[in-house]
Amino acid sequence: MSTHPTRVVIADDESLVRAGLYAIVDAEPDLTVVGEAATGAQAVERVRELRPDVVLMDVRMPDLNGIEATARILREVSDPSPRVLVVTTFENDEYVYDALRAGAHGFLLKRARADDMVHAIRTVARGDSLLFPAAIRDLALTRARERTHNAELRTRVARLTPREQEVLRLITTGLANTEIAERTGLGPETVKTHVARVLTKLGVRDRTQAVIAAYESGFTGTGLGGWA
Amino acid sequence: MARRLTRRLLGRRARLRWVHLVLGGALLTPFHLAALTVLTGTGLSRDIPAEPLTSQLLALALALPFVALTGLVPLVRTLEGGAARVLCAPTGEVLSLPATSAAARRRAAAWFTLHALAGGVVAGVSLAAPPGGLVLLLLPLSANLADVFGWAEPATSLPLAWTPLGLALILLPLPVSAAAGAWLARIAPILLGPTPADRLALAEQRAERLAERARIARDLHDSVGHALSAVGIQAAAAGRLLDRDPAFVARALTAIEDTARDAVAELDHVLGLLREETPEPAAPVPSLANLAELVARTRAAGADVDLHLDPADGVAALPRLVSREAYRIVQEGFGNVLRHAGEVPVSLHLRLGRGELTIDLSNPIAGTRPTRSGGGRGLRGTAERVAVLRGTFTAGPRDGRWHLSARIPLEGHP
Repeated sequence: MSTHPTRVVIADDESLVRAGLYAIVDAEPDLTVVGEAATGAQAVERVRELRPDVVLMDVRMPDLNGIEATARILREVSDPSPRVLVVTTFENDEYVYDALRAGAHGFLLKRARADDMVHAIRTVARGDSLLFPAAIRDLALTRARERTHNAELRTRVARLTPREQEVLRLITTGLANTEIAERTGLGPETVKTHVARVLTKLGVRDRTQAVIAAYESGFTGTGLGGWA
Repeated sequence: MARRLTRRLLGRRARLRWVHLVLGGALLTPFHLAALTVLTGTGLSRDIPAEPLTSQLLALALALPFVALTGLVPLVRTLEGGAARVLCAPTGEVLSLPATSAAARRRAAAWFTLHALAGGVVAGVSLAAPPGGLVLLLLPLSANLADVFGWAEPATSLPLAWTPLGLALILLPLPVSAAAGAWLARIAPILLGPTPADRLALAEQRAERLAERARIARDLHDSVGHALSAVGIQAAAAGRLLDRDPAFVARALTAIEDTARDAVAELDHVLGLLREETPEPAAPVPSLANLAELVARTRAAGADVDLHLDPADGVAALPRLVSREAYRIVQEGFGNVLRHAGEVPVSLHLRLGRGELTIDLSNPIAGTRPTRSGGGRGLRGTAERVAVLRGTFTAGPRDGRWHLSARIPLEGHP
């Protein structure tokens, strides 16, 4: 872990939530809140001038919602671009999947315990990814079904070895590396290598994006015999 | 078999249907008599071979168009529907509400005409056939009868041979009434029942109500969910800062208390809304469409209202819920002015723009300090209802005037 504290920006239109998150995050010695925003546009602005490590991004906000704000931040702020954690009241919010598609690094429920919140912030700040939330899977499935599958992604998934495809399938069910190791009988290090290869071959940044690729390519959800 | 036939012809249902048919005949009578008068008055009937039956039929033909015209009156379905339901034992649903649509009125008119026609025939048969049959039966006993009843003349030579016909004539009203009654009972649902348009309108109304309930439920779920997560986060933060920052903890506790209270108030309000919906509201809920009356009433009560509408015709297109709520806010505001400031000039601005309705009601603060409106149904209730519509509401003094301001977003309301 780096020696300087992780710098966090909090974007939420409800001042009570913002103040609460502020207090929770700022109370941690290794985390510090450098800015707040009440709208999506403000969030983009704050991130540009403050260059935080992590953004806590509410989904529903006035003037620019969390999805568009996330997309804009990841497009416009680079070297390094911050990690975006989508914060939401409801797991079943259909916008959450859109936010993840837009490139958010993970997802945080407002009802999560404070310990889990700060743990999630540390995890994405480290560059590790959070598990794909189970409740989003159904949403992702319906949404991906409504779209035509991405042919490019489909070819990329098809080029994975059978072992890698199995690892991808287990990632989409929300399993961590240690659990994947148990299921497959592989060593944890081997699993790690496989996951890294899957990410590279799919050309995605992290597990979350790998899961989205699995849905968008039709690898998950279509029930094709050779695929899933 | 014989018993079933007897029941068909003389049972309770058959008797009621006969009453219903005679009623139809009675409804026809004034039209028929008027037509007869016209026929005799114009001398038309004198040129016609003096057959009473022919002139009767001619009068009937002349009367029917007027019967049909009368049947177009919306109230006819109320009366005829009620009568049919009670007397005619219809085979399907029959409405006894005024016919509003043109289609419903045409059907009701057709029904009224058929009812009068069938009723006229049955009533005529009931009045004429049995006495005639009786004359034929009595003919063998008294040949003089043929002198009184000229039409019986041919039967005098062999009176006994006409006895079966006499019996048949006495019984004739029974099958005629039963057949006509059964026919009317079958067509009543078609002509007096709900039209396809009626059914569609009903189904649409129901669907709209359900959609509105679903919307309210979703809004409630949303806002209570948000309130609860804010409470959770504040509590978590307070727990972490218990030792280090007592001031924050105190603020968090106040916020938790307020948020929880507001959330429950909102639940209360929405439950009220859902309950109100169950029975049809007796009186239409006033909305900004009734603003002019409200302003006039308030002026009459002594407050000089200065009304600004921007744009002037904007309020007509407002979503229903917003319009109703705005009316209640203005009503509450006027009430407060009269209660607390007395007969002072009131300025009311209603502005529509940027996807929201802005209400600003202000009045000079009188010598007495304005007090909070009494009871939970005052300003507090207004604030809660505005919050349900995702709007904001403030009330308080500013620049020497008392302002009551509300902003209600228009989106997402029916």
